[in-house]
Amino acid sequence: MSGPHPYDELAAHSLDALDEPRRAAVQTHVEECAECAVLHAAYLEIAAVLAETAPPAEPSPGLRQRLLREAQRSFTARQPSAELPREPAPRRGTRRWPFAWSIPRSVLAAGLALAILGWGVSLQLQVNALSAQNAELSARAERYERVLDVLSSPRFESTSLNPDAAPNAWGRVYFDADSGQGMVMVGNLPPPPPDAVYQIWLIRDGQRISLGTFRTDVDGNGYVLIQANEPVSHYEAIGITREPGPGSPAPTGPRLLRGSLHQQV
Amino acid sequence: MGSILIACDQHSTIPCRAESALPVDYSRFDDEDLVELIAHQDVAALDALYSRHARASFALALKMLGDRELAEEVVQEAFLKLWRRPEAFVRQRGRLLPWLLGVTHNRAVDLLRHRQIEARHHVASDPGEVTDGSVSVNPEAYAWSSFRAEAVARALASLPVAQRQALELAYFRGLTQSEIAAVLNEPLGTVKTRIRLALQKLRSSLEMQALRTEAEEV
Repeated sequence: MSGPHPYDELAAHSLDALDEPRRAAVQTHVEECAECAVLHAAYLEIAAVLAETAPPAEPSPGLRQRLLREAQRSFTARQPSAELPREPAPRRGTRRWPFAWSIPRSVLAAGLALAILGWGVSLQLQVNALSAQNAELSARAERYERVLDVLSSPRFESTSLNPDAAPNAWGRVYFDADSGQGMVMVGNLPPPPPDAVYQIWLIRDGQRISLGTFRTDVDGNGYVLIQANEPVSHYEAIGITREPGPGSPAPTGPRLLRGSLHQQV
Repeated sequence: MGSILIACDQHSTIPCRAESALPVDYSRFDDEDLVELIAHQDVAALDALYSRHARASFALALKMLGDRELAEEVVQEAFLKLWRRPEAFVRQRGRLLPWLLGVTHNRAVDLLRHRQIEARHHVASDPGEVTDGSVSVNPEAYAWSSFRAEAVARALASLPVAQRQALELAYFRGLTQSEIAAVLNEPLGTVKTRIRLALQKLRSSLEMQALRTEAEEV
Protein backbone atom coordinates (compact mmCIF):
# COMPACT_ATOMS: atom_id res chain seq x y z
CA MET A 1 0.00 0.00 0.00
CA SER A 2 1.23 3.46 -0.84
CA GLY A 3 1.89 5.51 2.30
CA PRO A 4 -0.34 6.41 5.25
CA HIS A 5 -4.11 6.58 4.90
CA PRO A 6 -5.05 9.94 3.33
CA TYR A 7 -8.25 10.30 5.36
CA ASP A 8 -8.19 14.10 5.23
CA GLU A 9 -7.92 14.15 1.47
CA LEU A 10 -10.65 11.69 0.55
CA ALA A 11 -13.43 14.30 0.60
CA ALA A 12 -11.54 16.56 -1.81
CA HIS A 13 -10.58 13.58 -3.93
CA SER A 14 -14.24 12.66 -4.39
CA LEU A 15 -14.63 16.10 -6.01
CA ASP A 16 -11.42 15.68 -8.04
CA ALA A 17 -10.19 18.78 -6.23
CA LEU A 18 -6.75 17.58 -5.16
CA ASP A 19 -3.72 19.15 -6.77
CA GLU A 20 -1.25 16.97 -8.58
CA PRO A 21 0.70 14.97 -7.55
CA ARG A 22 -1.56 14.25 -4.58
CA ARG A 23 -4.49 13.46 -6.84
CA ALA A 24 -2.62 10.59 -8.49
CA ALA A 25 -1.11 9.43 -5.20
CA VAL A 26 -4.45 9.33 -3.41
CA GLN A 27 -6.07 7.55 -6.35
CA THR A 28 -3.33 4.91 -6.27
CA HIS A 29 -3.83 4.51 -2.54
CA VAL A 30 -7.61 4.19 -2.91
CA GLU A 31 -7.18 1.47 -5.50
CA GLU A 32 -4.95 -0.50 -3.17
CA CYS A 33 -6.57 0.15 0.22
CA ALA A 34 -9.99 -1.39 0.83
CA GLU A 35 -10.65 0.81 3.86
CA CYS A 36 -9.99 4.07 2.03
CA ALA A 37 -11.86 2.76 -1.03
CA VAL A 38 -14.98 2.36 1.07
CA LEU A 39 -14.60 5.84 2.58
CA HIS A 40 -14.00 7.30 -0.86
CA ALA A 41 -17.10 5.54 -2.21
CA ALA A 42 -19.12 7.07 0.62
CA TYR A 43 -17.90 10.53 -0.32
CA LEU A 44 -18.68 9.77 -3.97
CA GLU A 45 -22.26 9.05 -2.92
CA ILE A 46 -22.51 12.56 -1.47
CA ALA A 47 -20.73 14.16 -4.40
CA ALA A 48 -23.12 12.40 -6.77
CA VAL A 49 -26.10 14.25 -5.34
CA LEU A 50 -24.49 17.49 -6.48
CA ALA A 51 -24.81 16.18 -10.02
CA GLU A 52 -28.56 16.17 -9.55
CA THR A 53 -28.62 19.95 -9.55
CA ALA A 54 -27.56 19.90 -13.20
CA PRO A 55 -30.45 20.81 -15.53
CA PRO A 56 -31.99 17.70 -17.11
CA ALA A 57 -30.52 16.97 -20.52
CA GLU A 58 -30.54 14.10 -22.96
CA PRO A 59 -27.66 13.12 -25.19
CA SER A 60 -28.31 12.75 -28.89
CA PRO A 61 -29.60 9.37 -30.09
CA GLY A 62 -26.38 8.97 -32.03
CA LEU A 63 -24.35 8.64 -28.83
CA ARG A 64 -25.98 5.33 -27.96
CA GLN A 65 -25.20 3.99 -31.42
CA ARG A 66 -21.60 5.15 -31.22
CA LEU A 67 -21.12 3.65 -27.77
CA LEU A 68 -22.59 0.27 -28.66
CA ARG A 69 -20.68 0.16 -31.93
CA GLU A 70 -17.45 0.90 -30.07
CA ALA A 71 -18.25 -1.70 -27.42
CA GLN A 72 -19.05 -4.27 -30.07
CA ARG A 73 -15.81 -3.50 -31.84
CA SER A 74 -13.72 -3.91 -28.71
CA PHE A 75 -15.68 -7.08 -27.93
CA THR A 76 -14.70 -8.53 -31.27
CA ALA A 77 -11.13 -7.44 -30.74
CA ARG A 78 -11.01 -9.09 -27.31
CA GLN A 79 -12.56 -12.36 -28.43
CA PRO A 80 -10.36 -13.85 -31.13
CA SER A 81 -10.91 -17.27 -29.57
CA ALA A 82 -14.65 -16.93 -30.07
CA GLU A 83 -14.23 -17.73 -33.71
CA LEU A 84 -13.88 -21.32 -34.71
CA PRO A 85 -10.24 -21.91 -35.57
CA ARG A 86 -9.34 -22.84 -39.08
CA GLU A 87 -8.12 -26.35 -39.55
CA PRO A 88 -4.46 -26.10 -38.63
CA ALA A 89 -1.76 -27.50 -40.82
CA PRO A 90 0.03 -30.42 -39.14
CA ARG A 91 3.08 -29.15 -37.35
CA ARG A 92 6.20 -30.85 -38.36
CA GLY A 93 8.11 -32.30 -35.47
CA THR A 94 5.62 -31.28 -32.81
CA ARG A 95 4.80 -33.78 -30.09
CA ARG A 96 2.01 -31.80 -28.51
CA TRP A 97 -0.87 -33.69 -30.15
CA PRO A 98 0.93 -36.60 -31.75
CA PHE A 99 -2.29 -38.49 -32.40
CA ALA A 100 -4.65 -35.69 -33.32
CA TRP A 101 -4.29 -36.21 -37.06
CA SER A 102 -5.35 -39.80 -36.72
CA ILE A 103 -8.69 -39.17 -34.96
CA PRO A 104 -11.49 -40.07 -37.40
CA ARG A 105 -13.74 -37.20 -38.46
CA SER A 106 -16.77 -39.12 -37.18
CA VAL A 107 -15.28 -39.15 -33.68
CA LEU A 108 -14.55 -35.44 -33.89
CA ALA A 109 -18.10 -34.82 -35.10
CA ALA A 110 -19.49 -36.88 -32.21
CA GLY A 111 -17.34 -34.94 -29.76
CA LEU A 112 -18.52 -31.66 -31.21
CA ALA A 113 -22.12 -32.84 -31.03
CA LEU A 114 -21.65 -33.77 -27.39
CA ALA A 115 -20.14 -30.36 -26.67
CA ILE A 116 -23.07 -28.63 -28.37
CA LEU A 117 -25.49 -30.87 -26.48
CA GLY A 118 -23.73 -29.96 -23.22
CA TRP A 119 -24.02 -26.29 -24.04
CA GLY A 120 -27.69 -26.77 -24.87
CA VAL A 121 -28.25 -28.48 -21.52
CA SER A 122 -26.44 -25.63 -19.82
CA LEU A 123 -28.68 -23.10 -21.58
CA GLN A 124 -31.75 -25.12 -20.65
CA LEU A 125 -30.64 -25.05 -17.01
CA GLN A 126 -30.29 -21.30 -17.29
CA VAL A 127 -33.77 -21.06 -18.78
CA ASN A 128 -35.13 -23.21 -15.96
CA ALA A 129 -33.42 -21.09 -13.33
CA LEU A 130 -34.78 -17.88 -14.84
CA SER A 131 -38.24 -19.42 -15.12
CA ALA A 132 -38.12 -20.42 -11.46
CA GLN A 133 -36.97 -16.92 -10.56
CA ASN A 134 -39.79 -15.48 -12.63
CA ALA A 135 -42.34 -17.76 -10.93
CA GLU A 136 -41.06 -16.72 -7.52
CA LEU A 137 -41.30 -13.03 -8.43
CA SER A 138 -44.81 -13.53 -9.80
CA ALA A 139 -45.88 -15.32 -6.62
CA ARG A 140 -44.37 -12.54 -4.54
CA ALA A 141 -46.13 -9.89 -6.60
CA GLU A 142 -49.40 -11.77 -6.15
CA ARG A 143 -48.90 -11.90 -2.37
CA TYR A 144 -48.17 -8.18 -2.28
CA GLU A 145 -51.29 -7.49 -4.30
CA ARG A 146 -53.37 -9.44 -1.81
CA VAL A 147 -51.75 -7.58 1.08
CA LEU A 148 -52.56 -4.31 -0.66
CA ASP A 149 -56.14 -5.48 -1.23
CA VAL A 150 -56.52 -6.04 2.50
CA LEU A 151 -54.85 -2.80 3.53
CA SER A 152 -56.80 -0.70 1.05
CA SER A 153 -60.17 -2.24 1.83
CA PRO A 154 -62.81 0.25 3.03
CA ARG A 155 -63.70 -2.27 5.75
CA PHE A 156 -60.09 -2.77 6.81
CA GLU A 157 -59.81 -3.84 10.43
CA SER A 158 -57.10 -5.19 12.67
CA THR A 159 -56.81 -6.79 16.04
CA SER A 160 -53.88 -7.76 18.20
CA LEU A 161 -52.97 -11.31 19.12
CA ASN A 162 -52.14 -11.69 22.79
CA PRO A 163 -49.71 -14.26 24.11
CA ASP A 164 -50.94 -17.38 25.87
CA ALA A 165 -48.42 -20.19 25.98
CA ALA A 166 -45.77 -18.12 24.17
CA PRO A 167 -45.23 -15.28 26.66
CA ASN A 168 -42.82 -13.24 24.54
CA ALA A 169 -44.65 -13.59 21.26
CA TRP A 170 -46.83 -10.93 19.70
CA GLY A 171 -49.07 -10.86 16.71
CA ARG A 172 -51.66 -8.93 14.76
CA VAL A 173 -54.43 -9.83 12.37
CA TYR A 174 -55.38 -7.54 9.50
CA PHE A 175 -58.49 -8.32 7.53
CA ASP A 176 -61.18 -7.07 5.23
CA ALA A 177 -64.35 -7.40 7.29
CA ASP A 178 -66.44 -8.03 4.18
CA SER A 179 -64.46 -10.58 2.28
CA GLY A 180 -62.80 -12.88 4.78
CA GLN A 181 -59.44 -12.02 3.28
CA GLY A 182 -56.64 -10.98 5.60
CA MET A 183 -53.20 -11.64 6.94
CA VAL A 184 -51.60 -12.63 10.20
CA MET A 185 -48.26 -11.28 11.36
CA VAL A 186 -46.34 -12.65 14.33
CA GLY A 187 -43.07 -11.85 16.05
CA ASN A 188 -40.91 -13.42 18.74
CA LEU A 189 -42.35 -16.81 17.94
CA PRO A 190 -39.39 -19.18 17.68
CA PRO A 191 -39.17 -21.24 14.48
CA PRO A 192 -40.94 -24.57 15.01
CA PRO A 193 -38.99 -27.85 14.76
CA PRO A 194 -38.73 -29.29 11.25
CA ASP A 195 -41.59 -31.73 11.89
CA ALA A 196 -43.99 -29.06 13.23
CA VAL A 197 -45.84 -25.98 11.97
CA TYR A 198 -47.86 -23.16 13.42
CA GLN A 199 -51.56 -23.37 12.61
CA ILE A 200 -54.17 -20.61 12.62
CA TRP A 201 -57.70 -21.23 13.85
CA LEU A 202 -60.91 -19.24 13.68
CA ILE A 203 -63.21 -19.89 16.64
CA ARG A 204 -67.01 -19.77 16.65
CA ASP A 205 -69.52 -21.62 18.87
CA GLY A 206 -66.76 -23.77 20.29
CA GLN A 207 -65.68 -24.93 16.84
CA ARG A 208 -62.20 -24.44 15.38
CA ILE A 209 -61.78 -23.86 11.68
CA SER A 210 -58.26 -24.08 10.26
CA LEU A 211 -57.02 -21.13 8.25
CA GLY A 212 -53.72 -22.70 7.29
CA THR A 213 -50.21 -23.16 8.58
CA PHE A 214 -46.98 -21.22 8.52
CA ARG A 215 -43.46 -21.18 9.85
CA THR A 216 -41.44 -18.35 11.34
CA ASP A 217 -37.91 -17.35 10.37
CA VAL A 218 -34.82 -17.51 12.54
CA ASP A 219 -35.74 -14.18 14.12
CA GLY A 220 -39.16 -15.46 15.11
CA ASN A 221 -41.01 -13.38 12.52
CA GLY A 222 -43.62 -14.65 10.13
CA TYR A 223 -46.65 -13.62 8.16
CA VAL A 224 -49.26 -15.49 6.25
CA LEU A 225 -52.21 -14.54 4.08
CA ILE A 226 -55.53 -15.98 5.19
CA GLN A 227 -58.83 -16.51 3.45
CA ALA A 228 -61.91 -17.45 5.47
CA ASN A 229 -65.09 -18.82 3.91
CA GLU A 230 -67.09 -16.09 5.62
CA PRO A 231 -66.23 -12.54 6.67
CA VAL A 232 -63.74 -12.73 9.52
CA SER A 233 -65.99 -10.59 11.71
CA HIS A 234 -68.50 -13.47 11.79
CA TYR A 235 -66.13 -15.35 14.07
CA GLU A 236 -65.50 -14.81 17.79
CA ALA A 237 -61.76 -15.21 18.02
CA ILE A 238 -58.61 -16.30 16.30
CA GLY A 239 -55.83 -18.43 17.77
CA ILE A 240 -52.50 -19.98 16.88
CA THR A 241 -51.22 -23.36 18.03
CA ARG A 242 -48.20 -25.48 17.24
CA GLU A 243 -49.11 -28.69 15.45
CA PRO A 244 -47.30 -31.66 13.98
CA GLY A 245 -46.54 -31.02 10.32
CA PRO A 246 -48.27 -30.62 7.95
CA GLY A 247 -51.06 -29.52 10.33
CA SER A 248 -53.98 -31.02 12.25
CA PRO A 249 -57.73 -31.25 11.59
CA ALA A 250 -58.29 -29.85 15.10
CA PRO A 251 -55.92 -28.15 17.54
CA THR A 252 -53.78 -30.54 19.59
CA GLY A 253 -51.12 -28.20 20.97
CA PRO A 254 -51.40 -25.40 23.49
CA ARG A 255 -52.70 -22.05 22.25
CA LEU A 256 -49.75 -19.72 21.80
CA LEU A 257 -51.52 -16.51 20.69
CA ARG A 258 -55.13 -15.45 20.79
CA GLY A 259 -57.15 -12.46 19.65
CA SER A 260 -60.78 -11.44 19.91
CA LEU A 261 -62.47 -10.59 16.64
CA HIS A 262 -65.21 -8.57 18.30
CA GLN A 263 -62.96 -5.85 19.66
CA GLN A 264 -61.11 -4.69 16.62
CA VAL A 265 -58.85 -1.66 16.90
CA MET B 1 -30.94 -9.40 -6.48
CA GLY B 2 -28.32 -12.06 -6.07
CA SER B 3 -25.80 -13.39 -8.49
CA ILE B 4 -26.83 -14.19 -12.02
CA LEU B 5 -26.54 -17.56 -13.60
CA ILE B 6 -24.31 -17.34 -16.61
CA ALA B 7 -23.99 -20.30 -18.90
CA CYS B 8 -20.39 -19.66 -19.76
CA ASP B 9 -17.34 -18.17 -18.16
CA GLN B 10 -14.67 -15.71 -19.11
CA HIS B 11 -12.27 -18.47 -20.05
CA SER B 12 -14.69 -20.12 -22.40
CA THR B 13 -14.09 -20.02 -26.10
CA ILE B 14 -17.83 -19.84 -26.62
CA PRO B 15 -19.17 -16.32 -26.99
CA CYS B 16 -21.18 -15.65 -23.87
CA ARG B 17 -23.25 -12.66 -24.77
CA ALA B 18 -26.59 -13.20 -23.13
CA GLU B 19 -28.52 -11.62 -25.95
CA SER B 20 -27.32 -14.26 -28.33
CA ALA B 21 -28.47 -17.07 -26.07
CA LEU B 22 -31.67 -16.00 -24.36
CA PRO B 23 -34.28 -13.28 -24.55
CA VAL B 24 -33.52 -11.56 -21.25
CA ASP B 25 -35.58 -8.83 -19.64
CA TYR B 26 -32.79 -6.55 -18.45
CA SER B 27 -35.14 -4.27 -16.58
CA ARG B 28 -35.36 -6.98 -13.93
CA PHE B 29 -31.65 -6.70 -13.14
CA ASP B 30 -30.28 -4.08 -10.80
CA ASP B 31 -27.28 -2.01 -11.83
CA GLU B 32 -24.74 -4.16 -10.10
CA ASP B 33 -26.06 -7.34 -11.73
CA LEU B 34 -25.82 -5.66 -15.10
CA VAL B 35 -22.16 -4.93 -14.41
CA GLU B 36 -21.68 -8.65 -13.84
CA LEU B 37 -23.18 -9.27 -17.26
CA ILE B 38 -20.93 -6.62 -18.73
CA ALA B 39 -17.98 -8.51 -17.29
CA HIS B 40 -19.19 -11.32 -19.55
CA GLN B 41 -19.18 -8.84 -22.43
CA ASP B 42 -22.93 -8.57 -22.74
CA VAL B 43 -23.52 -5.57 -24.98
CA ALA B 44 -27.23 -5.55 -24.21
CA ALA B 45 -26.43 -5.12 -20.51
CA LEU B 46 -24.32 -2.09 -21.38
CA ASP B 47 -27.23 -0.76 -23.41
CA ALA B 48 -29.57 -1.26 -20.45
CA LEU B 49 -27.23 0.66 -18.13
CA TYR B 50 -26.89 3.38 -20.72
CA SER B 51 -30.67 3.76 -20.84
CA ARG B 52 -30.76 4.18 -17.08
CA HIS B 53 -27.87 6.50 -16.46
CA ALA B 54 -26.78 8.26 -19.64
CA ARG B 55 -29.02 11.26 -18.91
CA ALA B 56 -27.53 11.85 -15.46
CA SER B 57 -24.02 11.41 -16.75
CA PHE B 58 -24.66 13.69 -19.72
CA ALA B 59 -26.40 16.39 -17.66
CA LEU B 60 -23.39 16.54 -15.31
CA ALA B 61 -20.86 16.66 -18.14
CA LEU B 62 -22.89 19.30 -19.98
CA LYS B 63 -23.19 21.47 -16.91
CA MET B 64 -19.44 21.26 -16.33
CA LEU B 65 -18.29 21.66 -19.91
CA GLY B 66 -21.07 23.71 -21.49
CA ASP B 67 -20.52 21.90 -24.77
CA ARG B 68 -22.77 19.10 -26.01
CA GLU B 69 -20.15 17.48 -28.19
CA LEU B 70 -17.55 17.34 -25.44
CA ALA B 71 -20.15 16.20 -22.94
CA GLU B 72 -21.13 13.28 -25.18
CA GLU B 73 -17.48 12.39 -25.55
CA VAL B 74 -17.14 12.25 -21.77
CA VAL B 75 -20.26 10.10 -21.38
CA GLN B 76 -19.03 7.69 -24.01
CA GLU B 77 -15.65 7.41 -22.30
CA ALA B 78 -17.28 6.79 -18.92
CA PHE B 79 -19.42 3.94 -20.23
CA LEU B 80 -16.55 2.50 -22.25
CA LYS B 81 -14.40 2.49 -19.12
CA LEU B 82 -17.04 0.34 -17.45
CA TRP B 83 -17.20 -1.87 -20.53
CA ARG B 84 -13.44 -2.32 -20.78
CA ARG B 85 -12.68 -2.54 -17.07
CA PRO B 86 -15.82 -3.69 -15.26
CA GLU B 87 -13.65 -4.90 -12.39
CA ALA B 88 -12.85 -1.24 -11.62
CA PHE B 89 -16.32 -1.03 -10.11
CA VAL B 90 -16.52 -3.02 -6.86
CA ARG B 91 -20.13 -3.54 -5.82
CA GLN B 92 -19.25 -4.08 -2.16
CA ARG B 93 -18.01 -0.50 -1.96
CA GLY B 94 -21.09 1.31 -3.14
CA ARG B 95 -23.70 1.80 -5.83
CA LEU B 96 -22.94 2.04 -9.50
CA LEU B 97 -24.45 5.47 -10.23
CA PRO B 98 -22.17 7.47 -7.88
CA TRP B 99 -19.22 5.55 -9.28
CA LEU B 100 -20.29 6.28 -12.85
CA LEU B 101 -20.85 9.95 -12.10
CA GLY B 102 -17.44 9.99 -10.43
CA VAL B 103 -15.86 8.67 -13.62
CA THR B 104 -17.81 11.21 -15.66
CA HIS B 105 -16.75 14.01 -13.36
CA ASN B 106 -13.14 12.90 -13.36
CA ARG B 107 -12.99 12.91 -17.15
CA ALA B 108 -14.77 16.25 -17.42
CA VAL B 109 -12.32 17.76 -14.94
CA ASP B 110 -9.45 16.44 -17.03
CA LEU B 111 -10.93 18.17 -20.05
CA LEU B 112 -11.47 21.39 -18.15
CA ARG B 113 -7.90 21.40 -16.96
CA HIS B 114 -5.95 20.00 -19.85
CA ARG B 115 -7.82 21.31 -22.86
CA GLN B 116 -8.18 24.71 -21.29
CA ILE B 117 -11.72 25.10 -22.40
CA GLU B 118 -12.71 26.96 -19.28
CA ALA B 119 -12.27 30.33 -20.92
CA ARG B 120 -14.60 29.34 -23.75
CA HIS B 121 -17.01 27.96 -21.17
CA HIS B 122 -17.16 31.27 -19.34
CA VAL B 123 -17.98 33.10 -22.52
CA ALA B 124 -20.69 30.61 -23.45
CA SER B 125 -22.75 30.98 -20.33
CA ASP B 126 -22.88 30.33 -16.66
CA PRO B 127 -22.81 26.57 -16.00
CA GLY B 128 -26.10 26.75 -14.21
CA GLU B 129 -27.72 28.34 -17.24
CA VAL B 130 -27.00 25.53 -19.66
CA THR B 131 -30.24 24.37 -21.20
CA ASP B 132 -31.10 21.59 -23.52
CA GLY B 133 -33.70 22.94 -25.82
CA SER B 134 -32.61 20.95 -28.83
CA VAL B 135 -33.63 17.57 -27.53
CA SER B 136 -36.86 16.59 -25.85
CA VAL B 137 -36.56 15.49 -22.24
CA ASN B 138 -38.53 12.57 -20.89
CA PRO B 139 -41.31 14.20 -18.78
CA GLU B 140 -41.29 11.57 -16.05
CA ALA B 141 -37.51 11.68 -15.75
CA TYR B 142 -37.67 15.45 -15.79
CA ALA B 143 -40.24 15.54 -12.95
CA TRP B 144 -38.28 13.09 -10.84
CA SER B 145 -34.93 14.77 -11.39
CA SER B 146 -36.51 18.16 -10.68
CA PHE B 147 -37.87 16.87 -7.40
CA ARG B 148 -34.47 15.46 -6.45
CA ALA B 149 -32.69 18.60 -7.61
CA GLU B 150 -34.92 20.72 -5.39
CA ALA B 151 -34.04 18.57 -2.40
CA VAL B 152 -30.34 18.89 -3.14
CA ALA B 153 -30.71 22.62 -3.74
CA ARG B 154 -32.37 22.96 -0.32
CA ALA B 155 -29.52 21.01 1.24
CA LEU B 156 -26.98 23.17 -0.53
CA ALA B 157 -28.79 26.31 0.56
CA SER B 158 -28.51 25.18 4.14
CA LEU B 159 -24.71 25.26 3.93
CA PRO B 160 -22.77 28.37 4.97
CA VAL B 161 -22.08 30.46 1.87
CA ALA B 162 -18.32 30.01 2.06
CA GLN B 163 -18.63 26.23 2.17
CA ARG B 164 -21.15 26.14 -0.67
CA GLN B 165 -18.94 28.34 -2.78
CA ALA B 166 -15.90 26.09 -2.25
CA LEU B 167 -17.95 23.02 -3.04
CA GLU B 168 -19.38 24.42 -6.27
CA LEU B 169 -16.05 25.74 -7.49
CA ALA B 170 -14.53 22.33 -6.94
CA TYR B 171 -17.32 20.20 -8.31
CA PHE B 172 -18.70 22.15 -11.23
CA ARG B 173 -15.73 24.30 -12.23
CA GLY B 174 -13.17 21.57 -11.67
CA LEU B 175 -10.87 23.81 -9.65
CA THR B 176 -8.31 22.27 -7.34
CA GLN B 177 -8.12 23.23 -3.70
CA SER B 178 -5.11 25.47 -4.43
CA GLU B 179 -6.93 27.18 -7.27
CA ILE B 180 -9.98 27.74 -5.07
CA ALA B 181 -7.75 29.21 -2.37
CA ALA B 182 -6.27 31.58 -4.95
CA VAL B 183 -9.64 32.58 -6.37
CA LEU B 184 -11.14 33.21 -2.95
CA ASN B 185 -7.92 34.62 -1.52
CA GLU B 186 -8.13 32.26 1.42
CA PRO B 187 -5.49 30.02 3.03
CA LEU B 188 -5.30 26.52 1.50
CA GLY B 189 -6.01 24.89 4.88
CA THR B 190 -9.22 26.89 5.20
CA VAL B 191 -10.41 25.70 1.79
CA LYS B 192 -9.61 22.08 2.64
CA THR B 193 -11.60 22.31 5.84
CA ARG B 194 -14.52 24.00 4.12
CA ILE B 195 -14.77 21.31 1.47
CA ARG B 196 -14.66 18.50 3.99
CA LEU B 197 -17.21 20.15 6.27
CA ALA B 198 -19.44 21.02 3.32
CA LEU B 199 -19.68 17.41 2.21
CA GLN B 200 -20.34 16.21 5.73
CA LYS B 201 -23.05 18.81 6.30
CA LEU B 202 -24.58 18.11 2.93
CA ARG B 203 -24.92 14.48 3.86
CA SER B 204 -26.48 15.33 7.24
CA SER B 205 -28.87 17.77 5.63
CA LEU B 206 -30.00 15.28 3.00
CA GLU B 207 -30.47 12.61 5.63
CA MET B 208 -32.60 14.97 7.69
CA GLN B 209 -34.71 15.80 4.64
CA ALA B 210 -35.16 12.11 3.94
CA LEU B 211 -36.23 11.54 7.53
CA ARG B 212 -38.68 14.44 7.34
CA THR B 213 -40.12 13.09 4.09
CA GLU B 214 -40.56 9.66 5.62
CA ALA B 215 -42.16 11.17 8.72
CA GLU B 216 -44.62 13.12 6.57
CA GLU B 217 -45.53 10.00 4.65
CA VAL B 218 -46.27 7.97 7.80
